Amino acid sequence: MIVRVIWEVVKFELARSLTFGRGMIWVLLVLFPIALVGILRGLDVPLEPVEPWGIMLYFLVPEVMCLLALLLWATPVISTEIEGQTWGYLALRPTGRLEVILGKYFTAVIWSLAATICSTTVCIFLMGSAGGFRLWMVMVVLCILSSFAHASLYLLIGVVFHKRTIVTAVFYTGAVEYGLSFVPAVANKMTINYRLRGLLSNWMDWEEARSAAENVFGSEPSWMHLGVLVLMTSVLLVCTLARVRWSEFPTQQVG
Amino acid sequence: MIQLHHVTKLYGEVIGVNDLCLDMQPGAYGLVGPNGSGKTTLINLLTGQLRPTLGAVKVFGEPPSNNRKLLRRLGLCPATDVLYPNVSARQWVSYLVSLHGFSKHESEELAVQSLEHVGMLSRMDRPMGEYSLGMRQRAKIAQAIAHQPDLIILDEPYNGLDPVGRQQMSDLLKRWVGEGKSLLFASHVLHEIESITSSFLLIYGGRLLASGTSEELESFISEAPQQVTLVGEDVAELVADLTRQSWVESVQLGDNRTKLKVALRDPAAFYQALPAWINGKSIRVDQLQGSQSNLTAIFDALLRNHRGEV
Amino acid sequence: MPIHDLGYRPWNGEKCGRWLRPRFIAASGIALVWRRKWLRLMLMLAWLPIFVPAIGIFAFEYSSTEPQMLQFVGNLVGGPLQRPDLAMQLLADPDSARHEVWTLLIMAFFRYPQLSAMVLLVGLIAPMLISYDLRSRAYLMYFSRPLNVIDYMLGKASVVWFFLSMIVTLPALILYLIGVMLSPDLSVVQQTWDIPIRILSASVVLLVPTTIVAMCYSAHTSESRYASFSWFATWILGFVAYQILTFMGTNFGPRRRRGFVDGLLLESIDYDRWRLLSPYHALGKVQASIFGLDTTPGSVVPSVLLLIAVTIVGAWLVRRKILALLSI
Repeated sequence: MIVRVIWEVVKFELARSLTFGRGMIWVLLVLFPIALVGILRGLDVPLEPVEPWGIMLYFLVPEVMCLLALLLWATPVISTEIEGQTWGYLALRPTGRLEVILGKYFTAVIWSLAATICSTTVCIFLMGSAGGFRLWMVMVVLCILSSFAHASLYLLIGVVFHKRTIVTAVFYTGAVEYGLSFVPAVANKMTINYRLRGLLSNWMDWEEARSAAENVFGSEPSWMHLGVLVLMTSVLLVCTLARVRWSEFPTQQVG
Repeated sequence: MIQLHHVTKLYGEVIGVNDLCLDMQPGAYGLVGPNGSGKTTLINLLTGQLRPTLGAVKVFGEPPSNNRKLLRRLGLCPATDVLYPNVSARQWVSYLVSLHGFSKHESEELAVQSLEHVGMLSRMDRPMGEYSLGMRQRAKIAQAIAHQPDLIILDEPYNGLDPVGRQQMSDLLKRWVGEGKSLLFASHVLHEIESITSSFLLIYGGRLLASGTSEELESFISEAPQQVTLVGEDVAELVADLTRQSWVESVQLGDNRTKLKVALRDPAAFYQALPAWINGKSIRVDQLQGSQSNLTAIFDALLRNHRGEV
Repeated sequence: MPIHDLGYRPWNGEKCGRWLRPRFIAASGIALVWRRKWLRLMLMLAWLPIFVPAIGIFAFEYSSTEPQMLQFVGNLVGGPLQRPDLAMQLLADPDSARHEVWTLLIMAFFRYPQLSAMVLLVGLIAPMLISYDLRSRAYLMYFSRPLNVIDYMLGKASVVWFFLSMIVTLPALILYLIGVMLSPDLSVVQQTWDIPIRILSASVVLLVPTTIVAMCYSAHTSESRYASFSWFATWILGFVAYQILTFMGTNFGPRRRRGFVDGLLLESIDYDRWRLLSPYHALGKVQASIFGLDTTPGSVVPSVLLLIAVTIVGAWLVRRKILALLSI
């Protein structure tokens, strides 16, 4: 029944979010990396070595595009309902808290994945032979991991800071996922972006990049990066669900 | 059905509700109180949206907070508006019903049934962004009753309804009660509740001031102190007679001696004596105004009672 | 048919001047925003970066009695602020470098910490300014009074300007005052009198177009999250586009050993070619030009024109949106 309820939530949220405005935002997110890659190709920027292109593509799609998509679809899960004064209707349902939040989580992941995979595919196509199936496959897997992991992070931020969701998420992303993730310390190993970059360099065998910037790409094996990502995603989701279960959210907009 | 045992809810330093004690059997009740009296806080406590700071809340014998089985038996129509602009009422109600665990087919069926009950059948497939306030109100009520709960709680359900809609709503709620289901109806308009139930709970400043039937309340009002206002050229001549009476609390003459406000401890005695004074002195009284409204009179009287002024 | 008396029409007393009316909208907006605890915290934190340039100015002025302070300032200017030429000049002749050192430190304050704080602060305040009025139809309350759309827009914009000037203009002016107070004598004012004017000009350049853009987003949606998202996406996408298009395909020189990202030596990069894509970099160009510190060869005119165009178009869009709501 839980799976069925989550699926109903996903269907409802997708139907509800299919508006012209959201569609335009989705298209913009998809086209942004494509436009940049297209311009660079138009300027005849050499495709060899491929590492800078791959790193750029990774930065553009599984990082920036994914984060922006989730900023819109994952972060305001609670604040949207409170602002629209619809939280009370959901919270009064037996499955209104946990299953609804999980349903919204998966909806956010679907939106993000759809944008990032489309974008990646076209960008790799524009890169021609330099891209290749391997790079595409690696990017798609990183998009999937990034979507799930970052969605769980943004969901938790949205649930804890439901009054100033997007600002908090942007601040956290800038300070931690981009600031701290470049600092050679224990803390940067606990960021999602560090793990994703590590997987990128491992799976693409970019030894030179990794040895030149170990604090950025890490030196751990892939299984460790994957394990940490899965663990972080799970922990963040559990924390989110626990918080939603026990919080007393306002049933109408305040202040 | 509902038990409140010394329930207090604090929002920081602000008191939402204060030491509520209540034991309600299944039935229909009106929750009456002005804006800011604690009605919505009480409703949120009963539905488990809030947990009491002190005391215990039980609905159908169980605490409502995070109680999935209990939530299945409750329906709520909150006062807040709903707006999902590009979702139809049918989709929305069906979705909310499905969150109770019903299958897709059952959810659709129940949703259509409830929308039919509230008179939304012909409009249920239009996006809610195109609905008027009254139509959204009907959709809200539909979602509250669709899953056939044992207790529905309505917070200002007549908001936005035209007279025909109000009549239909009253009929619906009477049928609901007639089927043996329970109802808690919150409003600040007394006569709206009176058309559905004669049992009232009066809440003010977070405190439960009184509970009873409408007859008991009317009797209380008639015996409770009131203020009346007399307007006329000669009303000043009544001052001497009034000030001699023990059942007069205060007399105030204003507006160029043409408006007389009298605070009465015993309104019945006043109404008995007034005609004789008017006839005896041939006094002209153009207007006699009672208390501003029944509700104001009730709360005023109750508060004076609670403060020990009566 | 009797015309209904709306209450204010027969008022025969003195009404306040037209140009003062936005003040009331601004005052109520500021009071509402000020109630938020997190905003007050953010305002406090936004002042913290002032310590760095303040210490720099203090060290510079104090170096007349403690010459080793000059080395510290030289390292600051030559290193993080990437002006080795100025560092050498100030070591050789501190007095002649005063104006440029002060403006460099103040501009760095504008450019780096305060621009980021501004983006966050506007993201916190602006999205709700007009979108909440749309959602609750409160705009009808405004326009049933003798206010026009421009008054409304100015009032709302003033709310943002008030808070932004508290974290941008005021600290920068205080930095200047610190410099004057710590200098050996008041003759430094002769050397640096133009700095407050530059600060005010740079503030106007920063505050006006950014506020208009934020208001434009807020005016076009009744859900503040879309306005917030659009605001942050504008900065992020612009910044990313500029960085990638400017630095990709550059001939990379030999790398230093410190690390991949900060070790690149970049040759013959055209920093101005893609500047108009990024609000951050367009603003930076104009501000650098105002402070007389523009080191890139490209003209500032395109950036100025962009900011003017954004302001005009944004204001027009906001006005058009509000007028559309009011039309019958």
